Amino acid sequence: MRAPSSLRWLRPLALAVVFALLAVGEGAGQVVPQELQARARYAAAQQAFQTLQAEASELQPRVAQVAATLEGYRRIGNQRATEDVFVNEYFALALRLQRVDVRSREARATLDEARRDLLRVLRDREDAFLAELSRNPTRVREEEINRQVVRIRQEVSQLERERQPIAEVGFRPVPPLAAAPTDGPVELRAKAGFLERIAGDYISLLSFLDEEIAVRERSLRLQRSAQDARDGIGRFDGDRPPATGAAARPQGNLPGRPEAVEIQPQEPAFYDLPLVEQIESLRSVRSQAEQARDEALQRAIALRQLAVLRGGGGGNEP
Amino acid sequence: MMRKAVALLLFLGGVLAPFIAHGQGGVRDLVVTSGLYGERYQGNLPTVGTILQDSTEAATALQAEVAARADLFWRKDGVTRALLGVDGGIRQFSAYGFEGQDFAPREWVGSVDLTLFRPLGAGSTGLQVLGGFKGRRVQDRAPMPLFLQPDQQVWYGGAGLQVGLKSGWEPLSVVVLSEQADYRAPLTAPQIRLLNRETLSSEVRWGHQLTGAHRMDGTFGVDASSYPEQRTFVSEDPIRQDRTYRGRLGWSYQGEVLARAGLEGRVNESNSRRPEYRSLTIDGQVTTVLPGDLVGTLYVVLSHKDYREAIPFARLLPGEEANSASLAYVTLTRSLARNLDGAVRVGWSRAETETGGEYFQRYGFGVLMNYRPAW
Repeated sequence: MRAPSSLRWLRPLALAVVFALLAVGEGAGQVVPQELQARARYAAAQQAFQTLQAEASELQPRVAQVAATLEGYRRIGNQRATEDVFVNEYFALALRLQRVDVRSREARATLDEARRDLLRVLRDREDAFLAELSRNPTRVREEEINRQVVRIRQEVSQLERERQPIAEVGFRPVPPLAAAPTDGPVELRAKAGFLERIAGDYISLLSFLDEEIAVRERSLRLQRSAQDARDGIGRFDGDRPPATGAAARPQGNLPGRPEAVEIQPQEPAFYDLPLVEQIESLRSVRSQAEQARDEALQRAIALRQLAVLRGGGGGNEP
Repeated sequence: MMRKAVALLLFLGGVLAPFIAHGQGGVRDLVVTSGLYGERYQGNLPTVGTILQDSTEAATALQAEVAARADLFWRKDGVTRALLGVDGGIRQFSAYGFEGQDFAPREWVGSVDLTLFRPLGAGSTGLQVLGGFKGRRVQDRAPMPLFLQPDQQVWYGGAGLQVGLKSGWEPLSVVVLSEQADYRAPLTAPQIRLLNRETLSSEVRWGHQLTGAHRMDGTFGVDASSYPEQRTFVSEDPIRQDRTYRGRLGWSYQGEVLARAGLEGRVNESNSRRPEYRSLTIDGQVTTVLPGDLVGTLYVVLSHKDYREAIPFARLLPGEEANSASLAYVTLTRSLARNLDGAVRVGWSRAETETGGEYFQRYGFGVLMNYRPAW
C-alpha cells in the first residue's frame, strides 16, 4: 500500500534517518527508534480498535435482548412498561452502541494510518538493509542482514493481509423502533432522531463500501485486460513464438489468474479471495446497507409525521 | 476429435452441474470475443504442416474470429475444490498474394482444463488431480509464409502434491503429468505424424509473496518425450526419445500497474542428435491504465536457441528448428458499455535460422470486442 501523496516526503526523510543511524555504527539487527515508535503506535491503535470491537460485541446482544423485551411488552399492549423500557434501557444502550460504532470507525481509520506508517518504516528499513548488502559487508553482517530482510518481508506480508474490510464493517440491521400509542411528540421526535443518526451511519458505511469496491474494480479491470490480451494471442497462435517449444498446456503461473494454478487448501481470508468474489461480497453488504438506510429514513419520516399529527409541530429536534 | 471434445464437455458438465445447482459452484469469468484482423506474412522458412508450396515470400490475410472462454469453480466449506477452464474459437481467413491461388483457411481450436483439489489435514497440504484437452483443426491450409500450427489433439492428465511451507511462502507443488499429442495427418501430408509425442513430465513449482505487491515464482521440470514416428536409424535404439530440462524464474507485481517477467531456460537432450539444443526465453508483460480511460498491455517474448548440430534444412514446426524467435504485442482496451470492452491489437512475430538465412515474419492489426454477460 502506497503512502498518501502528502506523506511521500516522509519516505526519503525516514530513509535518511535510517542511513544516518546505520552510519554511526548501529549494532547488528538493532531496531531503530522509528520502527519502535511505529510499531508501538500500531499496537496501541490495534488495541484501541479491538477494545471497541469487544465493547460492541458485548453491547449488541444486550441491545437485542432489550429490543426483544420491548417488542414483547408492545405485543401484549403494556404501554407503560414499553415506554419505561424504551426510555430507561433501550434508548441509552442503543445510543451507547451507536457511539461505540462511531468511535470504532475512527479507531479503524487510526489503525489504517498506523499500519501505513509501520509499512513505510519497514520498507525503508528493508531498503536500507539492501543498500548495506550491496556495499559488501562482512559474512556475519551479511547473514544478519538476510535474517532481518526475511523478518521484515514476513511482517509486511502479514500487515497487508490483516486489512480485511468485511470483518471490520460490522453491519447491523435497523433497530426495531416503532411508535407506541402513548408516545407524545417529544418521544416520537426522539425516536425519529435516533433513526436518522442510524441512517447517517449507514450512509458513511455506504461511502466506505463504494471506495473499497472502486479500488477492487480498478484492479479487476487491469487483471481482466491482461488476461484477455494474453488469451487473445495464445488461443490460436500460442503465446510463444513458433520454434521455441510452444507448450500445449499452461506452464507456471498465468498473469492475472493466480488461482488457476495455486489453490489454497484452507478457507481463504477475505483479502485472499479472487477479486470477483471480494467485489460480490462487498456489493451484497452494500445492498443490505442501502435497504437499511432507506428503512431507517422511511421510519424516521413516518415518526416525524406522526409527531406532527399528535400536535408536536414540525420541529426536527432532538 | 470434436466428438471426443464434446463428450468430455458433457461429462464434465454432468459432474459439475449438481454441485453448481446446489450453490457450491459458480462462474468466475465468462467472456465472448469477436474480432477482425489484417495480417501480413513474410518469409521463406518451410513448415512440415503442409506439403503445399508457393514461390511467394509475402502474403496477406484478413481474418474474422469468434471465441469464448469460461472459468468455473466449485467450492466446499469455503475451500476451492475444483476449477474448470473452457476455451474455444473459430477463425476464418481470406488469404491473398500467393502465386498459385488464393486460400481461405478455417481454424477451430478448443481446450478444457480441470483441476481437482483435496486438502490433507488442516494445514495447507493437499492433493491435486489435473486433466485436460487441447485440440486444433485447420481446413484449406495455405502454404508458407502463412504459418498455422498443425492439426492436433493433446490430452494430459496427472496428479500433484501441494506441501505447505513456512509463513510467507506459498505451498510447494510437485506435479507429475502424462501427455499424449496426436497430429492429424491428411493423406497428402503423412509427415505430420512425425510430430506425434508421448511425454511424461515432472515439475516442481514454488511461489513467494514479497513485500505486498511483489511476488516471485519458480518452476523446474523434466520432460521425458518419445516420438514413436521418428526413427534414429540406430537399431539398438530406433525411436527418437528426448529429455528436456527446463527451469523458469518469474517475478510479478500487482498494484496500480500489473507487471510480470520471466526467464526460462531449456536443455533438450535426445538419442537423435539433430534436435539437441539449449534455449533461453525472456518474457514480459505490463498492463496499466492510460489516459482516455484506456488500459494498455504490452507483451514481449524473446527467445534464442543453440543447436548442438548445424541444421542444413530447417523446417518450422512447434518446438524445433529456428534459432531465434520473438514476438511483441500491444493491446489497447477501452470500456464501451457496461459489459462490453473494445480493443485494438498490434502484433509482430519473427523466427529465423542462423544457417541459410531463412525466416518467417508476421505482423498485423486488429479490432476486437470482449463481451461479459451479466450473471
